[in-house]
Amino acid sequence: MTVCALMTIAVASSSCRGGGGVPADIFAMALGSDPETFDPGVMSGSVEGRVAYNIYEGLVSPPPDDGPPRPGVAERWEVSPDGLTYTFYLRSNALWSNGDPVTADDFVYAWMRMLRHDVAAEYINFVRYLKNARAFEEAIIAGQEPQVEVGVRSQGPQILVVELEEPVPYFIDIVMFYTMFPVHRASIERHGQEAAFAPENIVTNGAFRLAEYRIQNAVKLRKNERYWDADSVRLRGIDMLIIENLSAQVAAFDDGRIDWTYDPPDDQLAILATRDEFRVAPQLGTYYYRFNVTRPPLDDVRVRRALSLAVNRANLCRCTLDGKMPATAHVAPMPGYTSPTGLVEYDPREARRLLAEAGYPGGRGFPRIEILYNTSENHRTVAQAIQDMWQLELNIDVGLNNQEWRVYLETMNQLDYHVARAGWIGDYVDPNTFLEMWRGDDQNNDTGFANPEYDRLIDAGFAETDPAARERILQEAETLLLTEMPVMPVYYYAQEHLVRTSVRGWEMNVRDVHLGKYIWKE
Amino acid sequence: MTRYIISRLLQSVVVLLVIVTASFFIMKATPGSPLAKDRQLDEATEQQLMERYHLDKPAFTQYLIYLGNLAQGDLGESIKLKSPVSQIIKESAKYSLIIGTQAMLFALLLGVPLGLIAGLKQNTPTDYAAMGTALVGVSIPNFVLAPIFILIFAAGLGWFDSGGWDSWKDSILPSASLGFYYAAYIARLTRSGMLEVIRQDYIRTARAKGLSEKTVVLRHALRGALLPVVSYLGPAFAAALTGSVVIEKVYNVPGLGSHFVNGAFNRDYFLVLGVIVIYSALLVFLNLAVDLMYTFLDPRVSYDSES
Repeated sequence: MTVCALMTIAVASSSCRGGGGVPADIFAMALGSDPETFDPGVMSGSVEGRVAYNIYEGLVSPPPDDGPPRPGVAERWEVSPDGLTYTFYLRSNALWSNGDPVTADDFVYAWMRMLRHDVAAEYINFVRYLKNARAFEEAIIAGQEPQVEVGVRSQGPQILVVELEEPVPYFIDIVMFYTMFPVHRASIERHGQEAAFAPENIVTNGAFRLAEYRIQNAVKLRKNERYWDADSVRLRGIDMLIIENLSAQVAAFDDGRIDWTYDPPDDQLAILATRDEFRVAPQLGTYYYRFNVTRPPLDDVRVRRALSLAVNRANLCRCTLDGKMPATAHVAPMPGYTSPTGLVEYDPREARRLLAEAGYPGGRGFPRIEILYNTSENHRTVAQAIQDMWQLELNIDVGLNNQEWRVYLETMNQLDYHVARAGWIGDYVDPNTFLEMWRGDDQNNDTGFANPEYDRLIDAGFAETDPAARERILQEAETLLLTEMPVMPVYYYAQEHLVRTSVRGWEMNVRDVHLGKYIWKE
Repeated sequence: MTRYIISRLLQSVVVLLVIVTASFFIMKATPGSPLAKDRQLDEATEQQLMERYHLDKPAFTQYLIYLGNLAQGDLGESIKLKSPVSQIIKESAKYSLIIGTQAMLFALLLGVPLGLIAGLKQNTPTDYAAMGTALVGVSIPNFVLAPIFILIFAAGLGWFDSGGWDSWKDSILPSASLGFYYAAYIARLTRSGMLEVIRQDYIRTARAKGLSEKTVVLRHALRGALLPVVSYLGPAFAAALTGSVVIEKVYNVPGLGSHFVNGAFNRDYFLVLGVIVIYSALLVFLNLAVDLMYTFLDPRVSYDSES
């Protein structure tokens, strides 16, 4: 606490001295922690992603802005009318950093090693979209030789044919994700599944290559001269400095040691927002509260809705959360989808009416409930504000329960709570990433909510290939979710960045993915 | 003497075993899993990882596996960083070593002269100023001092970066913040040693011989006055090496201390145990070294049972 406070003073009083320290052809940025791995099939975090998107390239590449996906290793691709078959045409000049050509087989190998359980892949669900993937995996788990053909195969070195079990409308978005990147088979066969990704052995196919990694210090990337589009890459390298403390990241920016840092501490936002380098945009994420629907009094939908209606989100965001957008639904705003309106509102009178109807007129007889949150200044502020609103509007007894991160995760997983703070950042730009987890059997559900009609709508969303009809189905699902209210959306996450004004080609985008190949400095 | 050393070494092994055992079961008893994430792991993936780190076995079996590996010098693998703990420690220990050593040098170079002057000018404004500084140094914890140093020397004057480690220059602020406490303590020790020695007969004799004040102080008095400082150096060095956890966090130094803290938060069992093993081994052996040093410094101390 003291450290934080003093750091804040130190940072707030420091004057900006400009980016004198970083060479003009190096882009230096902060990384919030050590990358856990450089193996795209195994990784699962945003820190790992910031490295992976620059050293690897998938079939399709994320654009610098919110525009359409860009060609990556695949020059072009076709989708069959039934949405089940994707054909990717790979460019002939795509090379690995050791000079080997990138072939369709590299993708087949990369995807199959996850299904074969050669590695513990955290995003294995993405390869499960492939035809026969589940049957194949079941055989592997049972220790048998799989008798099925998984829906990914090469037709020569430059054509990759992908068949899906059922249509996945956002499959191109999935293909863009790092889990689906190719891996260099020869290195793995030579060094093994893990050692092949050690800095001294790693072979990659992106615009940059991993030049150096020092634990808790820095990840240094240098331009990959063999990259097919190397001519358009202007940077000589990207230096990622590992700085865990958020205030220290801002201090490093002020020292001129980095050109870009993200997620500055909330208590500094007001000061930082006045600076030229500050950039803010919506993020694909929602901050919400979970209700444990198996535990009275929260098993009553009227109680859950009353609690939601008693929260004045506009006030909360204005007073305690500088710059955050009050949530009006659960799916964070994204192109191509409009959430239902009128379900997440502030209406204390209706809240009191619902509470009375549930048997607690004026809050009388309402048992004490607790808000569970993990240790963080920010979560505490929000929890206190909501505690106040509930006590004031509904006259009920609300306590706060603060737990350390991993204890909190366990408590939530065991449904040992009343109300719990949570957050979700979308994996891909499609409402499904926010909606699928509320299926009764989803392991990320953690509320006890199970509704067959809801599950049916989610399934129907997959089966529907017409975008407009599909949007209506998903809107129906979200409406049901917000009517049953196992979750209470609070606000939408925002991305906050400090970017040196001399940096060009760095655009805000909803995925928050920024490829060094588009960036340069003036 | 040899027998004494052997018996102390054997005791050290027992001490280390107790520490490892206690740490292992405390880590295991802590709620929360190293594999827990807000986006839960796929069941098949989780199972794979559990097997890999033997987390699917009973705690006692895990303990035996860990001890068996430890006996062969294998500290296991970090669950979070997915690399061997011994490699992580090897890479990060050098930073802690540099900072610890420099902190002690800083402490000596600042503390001894300060204490010396204060002792010679007892009860003058110079003495009060020096001892006032020392009092501040002993009283301010380093997690307060470090941000203040950042505020003054990095943010204010711009002489240093506020953290990170690119070059040797980045080690100066952390070393100074860490060494300040020891400098203050050494100043107080030197002063009181000086006050005691300066009244001794042999100093009066030296002065009577007509030696210059400089020679009296530096050749005769200082030697005696520094004895308590020398015996303090051993434990202080051990404490500085292992006590830089907070300093490393504040200055973002890629040292052992950060792994200790992060490892505990991440329930990265093997990383935490590895750092504990290294820290305790350091403490145990530095203490042994200090005990042995006493026999050379002070002839009255002897560990030979037969004499």
